[in-house]
Amino acid sequence: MPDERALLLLLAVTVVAAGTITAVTRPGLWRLGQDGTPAAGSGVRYGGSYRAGRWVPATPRRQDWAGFQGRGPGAAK
Amino acid sequence: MGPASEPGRRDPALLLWPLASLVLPLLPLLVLLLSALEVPRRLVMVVPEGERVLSAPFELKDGWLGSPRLALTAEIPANSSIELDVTLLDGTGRTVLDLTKDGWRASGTWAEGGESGTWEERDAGLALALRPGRTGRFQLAVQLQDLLDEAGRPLPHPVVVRGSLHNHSVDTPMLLFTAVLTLAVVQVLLMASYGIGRGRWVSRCGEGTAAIRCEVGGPGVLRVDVLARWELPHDNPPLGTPPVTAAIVLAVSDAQGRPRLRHRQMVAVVHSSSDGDHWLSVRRELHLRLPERGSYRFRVELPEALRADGDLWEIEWLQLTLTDGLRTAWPVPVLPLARAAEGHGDA
Repeated sequence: MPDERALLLLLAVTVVAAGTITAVTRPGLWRLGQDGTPAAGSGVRYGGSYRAGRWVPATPRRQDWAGFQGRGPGAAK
Repeated sequence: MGPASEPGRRDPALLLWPLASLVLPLLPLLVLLLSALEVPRRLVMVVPEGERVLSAPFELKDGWLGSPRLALTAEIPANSSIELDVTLLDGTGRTVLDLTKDGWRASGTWAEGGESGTWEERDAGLALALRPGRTGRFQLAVQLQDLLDEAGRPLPHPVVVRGSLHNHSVDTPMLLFTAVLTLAVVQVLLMASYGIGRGRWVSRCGEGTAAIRCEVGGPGVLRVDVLARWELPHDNPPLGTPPVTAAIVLAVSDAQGRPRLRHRQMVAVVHSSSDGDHWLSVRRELHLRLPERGSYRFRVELPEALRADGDLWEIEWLQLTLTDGLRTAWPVPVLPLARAAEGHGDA
């Protein structure tokens, strides 16, 4: 039983350390210059992306979009 | 009741260190609290249509303590849509990010089943979480491409864009998940430390007396759980006030049948009722220390019936549970056993 308890304590310390360090340092976060673009939520279009450390504008510059997109009262009550 | 341990000597049944693990789930929450204390840098830009407006310069910090998070919200009229160009410029004015936000805001009234009210939905904001690579000064350039009403007609209003910048933001969902997961592991640890013994025996009967003979003893304490319930023999409500106490007797004898303990005490009786049913119950936990392993008989006795104010409460069941070899976080009162040679020992 003491071995199991020590193992469980080690597991708890490992979980809290790994989760907290990952949440603070965020190793997977996009970095300026990294290929691609960062996540930015809905309705965002990037005008280019990084390739080999350089910002490359996209062509054509702007895309068409449908404009007003309110979903109406049925989804809001 | 006897002391938990001899004075000046640490009780071997006490186990304190697992309690310290309760601090672990609090660590992610503490980090979250510290992160919430960061005062964000505020940015405000008033953007007329067609003009490119620069924000005040701000610093994006690189490092291991959190990461920058830039949130922008365009304040637009109800029932309108917006197309907003946002460019992130470095200290030399070079474009390092360029994006367009297609946003909207809609509102109206609803009526259903005689009730009515107003509703509003919007998506006119964006949030960028990134690392700058190295700490430096940056600036935003914002340009309003379109601000249209519901019919697609241009609106002449300028748009106010508000921003907030945190340089040390953390991953909140990850911290909450970590706290919950750690708490689950800690609960398993506490259960393994205090809830599981060497052996467990249960006896349940419909009489006022229950007994168990078993091999117990050794390190730790033996916990005796007594649970009993009385009911009225009819479905009518009680005539008067139920009794508030009942006498419980615990007797322990060794392998040769010599009495080692006879303990009697009054315990509180709890009156409960549900859906017209009434019952009385008692629950009592007692602790013993049996340093030497051996065969012992444990006998617990409660009244077969409780009389009060003309009511006769008859025993429904009595449950005796023994758990041997338990460790505790705090000292518990332990009933003293008489030495075998002394024969009888009342507590």
